[in-house]
Amino acid sequence: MLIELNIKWTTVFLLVAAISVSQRFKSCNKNEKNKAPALVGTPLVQQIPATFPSPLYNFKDNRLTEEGFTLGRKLFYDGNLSKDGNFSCGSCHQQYAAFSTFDHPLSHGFNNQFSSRNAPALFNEAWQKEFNHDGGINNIEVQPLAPITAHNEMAETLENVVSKIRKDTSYGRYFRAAFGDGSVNSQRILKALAQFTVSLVSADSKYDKVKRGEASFLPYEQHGYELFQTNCASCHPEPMFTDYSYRNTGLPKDSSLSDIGRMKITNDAGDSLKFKVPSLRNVAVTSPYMHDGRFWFLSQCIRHYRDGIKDSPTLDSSLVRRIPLSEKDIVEINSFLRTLTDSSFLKNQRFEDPENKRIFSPDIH
Amino acid sequence: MLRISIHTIIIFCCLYGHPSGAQTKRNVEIRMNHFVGSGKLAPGIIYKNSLGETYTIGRFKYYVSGIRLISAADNQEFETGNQYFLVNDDDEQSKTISLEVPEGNYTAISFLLGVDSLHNVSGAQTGALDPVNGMFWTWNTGYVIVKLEGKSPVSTLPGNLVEYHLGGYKGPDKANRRITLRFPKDNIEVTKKKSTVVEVKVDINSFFNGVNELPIKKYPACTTAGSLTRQYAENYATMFSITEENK
Repeated sequence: MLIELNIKWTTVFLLVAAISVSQRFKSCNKNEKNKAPALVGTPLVQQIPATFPSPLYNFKDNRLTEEGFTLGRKLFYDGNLSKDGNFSCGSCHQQYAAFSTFDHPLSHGFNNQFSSRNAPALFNEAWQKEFNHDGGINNIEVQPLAPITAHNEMAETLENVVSKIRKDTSYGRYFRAAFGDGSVNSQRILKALAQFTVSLVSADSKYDKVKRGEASFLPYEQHGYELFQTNCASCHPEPMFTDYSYRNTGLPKDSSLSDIGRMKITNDAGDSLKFKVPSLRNVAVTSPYMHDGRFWFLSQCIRHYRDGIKDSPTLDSSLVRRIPLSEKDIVEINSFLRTLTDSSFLKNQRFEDPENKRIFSPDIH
Repeated sequence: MLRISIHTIIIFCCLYGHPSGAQTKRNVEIRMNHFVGSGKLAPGIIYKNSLGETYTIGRFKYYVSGIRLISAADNQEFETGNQYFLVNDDDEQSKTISLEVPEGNYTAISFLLGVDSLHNVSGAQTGALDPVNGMFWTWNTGYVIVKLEGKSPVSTLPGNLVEYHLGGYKGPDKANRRITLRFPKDNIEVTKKKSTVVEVKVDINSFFNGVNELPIKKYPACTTAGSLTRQYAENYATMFSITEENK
């Protein structure tokens, strides 16, 4: 009797336990269904060159897909992101200039205005900790907000951008393909733009080919490389060719621009006249140079470190003694820097304006 | 027979024993009531701060997040979820914050005035944190915590403008503040019997003279993170008080 009862109770217990567990699972599944983002589109693998360190931006919260990239590219080349429709991201970030502005110290913006600084080249953005010459932007996803809202650049409000994209019927299928439905908001616009800009990876220059054993330097390029390693690599270390730090390189302050650089962000007088060290990849096609585009030629930039530096309290310690270089050294370093041009990147059709408004592209090396 | 009773207990526990997270939750409303001294905030009205300066308010917005209720039973803090609220004086709905809280007695409420540092560095957000809401710095990433705009005859700025866009999340510039408000009379009881409403008074007078005297004449604007913003942060942390609750 006792045994019988015991079995009966045990059965009841197991049944109740099973029901309670299954119900709990049901509710879990329901919650997950509500929370999990719809997985749409064709997943893409982030391109990470073998010689590069781990990227800082890794698409953890922005699933990289072919469709997201395609939407991002359309947005990047859409003038409607600016107030008067004239200035897309691509108008100042031109592929043939490694996504800097070709031949312009400062870029053209809304209402015949100039930008305040030289448009930086765009590539290998996933390895950047901070954005803009002063590092004021802490995440690639929110970087476009700066040029979009700057009165002298795209001069638009984010609200208007969202509403213009919403009204533009050509976008519906792009948003549906990338996000599963056609709704447009600022987060989707910014995440799609990041899918495009972060995909701009450049690591196929002659230098890279030499490192991979697929090519070799000419003798003067090799000399230039050795001089570079001795004299330049402390701020422009391989393989990124920048250490992403902020430094005052002794450029005399332009009184018409009065740009204090990094200090604008930190309010720290110790950061006065400091600007982010740019990567030297593709440097041969990003003329003019420096944060304000004051130098037209690479040789001028190199020569600056020999005899152009102006002393000031925040001058970088590595430049106090200048960089002693002969004219021959300058020519050879210049030759090495030209091996950093990644032609396949500059001509990659995936990164072109999808409407293919071909612009004359000067054939640079 | 002993065995039977043990099984009975197990079944009883299985059927009725809820894990603490599954407690019955009830709605609690937190209502933000904007005042200047004893007068309700309204556009166009000329106010005088305790420093004797007159001003009008055009815009008043701020972020509230990380709301917690402190339990009377064990002093434990109940986190109400990872929600962000943008309170905007222009938008009546935004002034009522609705929460789901487990039944019980609570002695205090606490919230972060502002946005935690993680969400200042995490890229494009949506909802209350959408940069489209105009509470985001585009050239020096970060959320504005408190935005107060208006006019004052003592302002030396064009159009006598008064403009405070206060924020900052890095190191010493951190301008968010955790604010804890004890319920003044009794604990509040969250039950199914009645809906619970917590009325919070927000007094803009404290903005100018809460801890630090910050005359409009001297500081008609403050729009970047830094030491002046820190002084305003000390002030705006004192703007909030609980007037009455459990109505």
